[in-house]
Amino acid sequence: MVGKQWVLATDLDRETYLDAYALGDGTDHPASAAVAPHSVEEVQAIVRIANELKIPLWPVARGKNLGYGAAAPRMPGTVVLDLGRMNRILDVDPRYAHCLIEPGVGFFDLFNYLRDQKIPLWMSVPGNAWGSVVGNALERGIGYTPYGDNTAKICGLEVVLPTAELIRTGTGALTNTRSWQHYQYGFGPSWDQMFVQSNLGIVTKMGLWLMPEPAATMRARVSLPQPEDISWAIDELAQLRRQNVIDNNMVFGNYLHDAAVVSQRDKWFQGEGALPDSASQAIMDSLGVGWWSFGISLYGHPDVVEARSRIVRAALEPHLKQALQFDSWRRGDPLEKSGMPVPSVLALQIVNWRGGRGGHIGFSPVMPPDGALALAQFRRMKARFEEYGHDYYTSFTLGQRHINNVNIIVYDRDNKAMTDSARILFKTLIADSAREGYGEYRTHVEFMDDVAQTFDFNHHMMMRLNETVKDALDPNGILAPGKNGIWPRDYRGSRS
Amino acid sequence: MTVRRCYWAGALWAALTALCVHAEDKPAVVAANPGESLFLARCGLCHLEHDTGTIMLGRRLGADHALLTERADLRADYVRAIVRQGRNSMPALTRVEVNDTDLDAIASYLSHAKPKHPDSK
Repeated sequence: MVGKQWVLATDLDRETYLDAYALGDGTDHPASAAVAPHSVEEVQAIVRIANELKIPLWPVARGKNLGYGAAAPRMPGTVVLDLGRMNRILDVDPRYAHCLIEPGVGFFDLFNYLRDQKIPLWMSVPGNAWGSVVGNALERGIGYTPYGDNTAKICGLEVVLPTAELIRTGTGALTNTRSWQHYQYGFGPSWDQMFVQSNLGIVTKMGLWLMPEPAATMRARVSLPQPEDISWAIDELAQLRRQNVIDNNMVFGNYLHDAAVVSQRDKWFQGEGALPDSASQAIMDSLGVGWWSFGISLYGHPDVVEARSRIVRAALEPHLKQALQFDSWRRGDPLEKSGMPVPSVLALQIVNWRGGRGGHIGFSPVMPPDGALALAQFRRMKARFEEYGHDYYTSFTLGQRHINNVNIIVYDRDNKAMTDSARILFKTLIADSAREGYGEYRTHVEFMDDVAQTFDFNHHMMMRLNETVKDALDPNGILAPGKNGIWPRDYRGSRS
Repeated sequence: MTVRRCYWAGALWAALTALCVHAEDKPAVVAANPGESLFLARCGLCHLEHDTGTIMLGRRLGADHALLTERADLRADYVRAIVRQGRNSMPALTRVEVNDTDLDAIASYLSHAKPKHPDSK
C-alpha cells in the first residue's frame, strides 16, 4: 500500500511546494498538503473526495512554473495535486510526428527518449526546460523553433473535469479514434483552449505535434549596438516573420541576457539602485555585445533555406552595413551544429544576478510587432525599472503577429526593500501596460487578480463569462480557486 | 521557516491514504552504483560540468567546490537537508521529484565521492 507515501503533509513537504523564487519567503501562498496520484483513475478518485469534503485542489504538472509561482497555489491552504508521478510517454509516432504524454513528462525526459530511440523529431524547448512539456503548453509557454507556439501544437487532451468525469477532446471523443493526434478540432465546438491557463479541468494526457528533423538549417547571431536599433530591427524582423521567411519565434533581448549568465551584478556595479548606463556600457564593451542581440534560424530543405537566407540578407544587411555570417548545417552533419533544441536550465543563472537567495518574476505583456511601439515600450519600461531601482532585463519575443515582451525582475528574496519595490514596480507595470492597451499573456500567482482585472471590456464581461462557466462546471469550487483570476462562487471574497 | 499549517490536510490525509493503492514509481535505473545513476538522472541537469548549479557553486565557493561529484566535504545528512530545503538559488525538491529512498542513495553517493583536484577538501 503506497497511500501514505504519496500524501505529502509534513511541514517539510509543505515547504517544498512553496515558490522558491517568490517575492519574499513565499509563505503567503502555502499549500496545506500535496497528493501525488499515479493514474487517471486516482485523479478521478481524488476529485470525488475533494467534492465530497469541499477541499480545493491546485493541479501542477511538475511544479516548475518558475517566475510565475512554481507549484504554489493562488489561494493559501489549497492542496497541491502533484501530477509528477504520471510521467509516462505513452506514444511517439515517428511517421506522423506526434506524441501522447502524461503531465509529469519533463523536457529532459522526452528529449532523452527521442535521442535514445533515435527518433528524428525535434521538440520545442523553452528557455528554462526544467519543467513539464504538458504544463508548459498549458501555460502558453514559448519555444524557438517553427513549433514554438507550444499551445498551438496541442492535438487532443484527456481531461478530468471538476466533477471527476473524464473527457477526451477533438477526435478523441470517438471511443475508437484513429486520428486523435492528427486533427485538432473534432466535431462541433472545440474545447481544448478552455483547459489552457484555466481551472476548468485537470489535463491527464496531451497529444502534441513534434517537428520533423529538417534537412538543413542556417543560423546567424546578430548584435545591435544602440537602444534605438530596436525600431528598425523589429519592423524588418516582423515583416520576415509575417511572411514566414523566418518561421520561428525570435528572442530579441538586451545585454543582460548575456551578462546574467556569465557574471554577477557586483562584478560591474556595487551601488544602490538600477545599473547606470555607464555600467551597462562597460558590460557590453567587456562582453563584446550590443544593447540588443537576436538569433536568426532557418529550417527546411537546403534550397529553401538558402533562398530564405538571401531574403534575410536583403532585409537586414543594409541596416547592419555588413554581411551576416550564417552557420550552415545539413542532415548528416554533427547534430550539435544544427540548432536542434536541447533542454537546459542555464537560463536560471539569472536568479543569481543579485546574489543571496535569488528570485525572479516575469512581467510579460503582449503587443503588436511594430518598431515604433517597441521603442516606446522599451523607453517606458526602462524608465520604470530605473525609477524603482531594478536592473532592466527584457526581451521582445517575436511571434507571427505579436510580441511577448518578457521582462524579468530579479531580486534578493531576503532584501525586503528590494522585494517591496519589485512588487510595486510590477503593479505599476500592469497599470502602465493596460493604459497602452497591452495585457499580460501569463503572470505570477500573486498578480493574477490584478492582471485579470485589466481585461475589462464591457464591464468585465470576460470575467463574468469565466465565472459563469466555472460555477457550471465546478459547482463546489474545488479546482484551483483564483487561477488566472477566476474564482468559484464560494471563494469570490478571496479575490485581491 | 515553517509554513503555517492549514485547513484541509487532516481530512485529506485520512481519505487519500486508502486511495493510492498500486502506485509504485518506475524502478530506478540499475547501475553499478545506483546512487550515481540517480544523481545523474535527478541532479545532473544542474550539477554536471558547465551547468547552472555548478556555475553558481563555483562563484560562491570557488572552482574546487563547484562540481558535487568532486567534493570530499559533503555529508549525507547535509545533502538530504539541502535537497529538501533548498539553498540560495536552488529550489527545494519534493518527495515526488526525488523520493526518500532515492535521496538516501544520492546522498550516500555524494558523501563517498572522490576529489579529482588534489587540493580539494
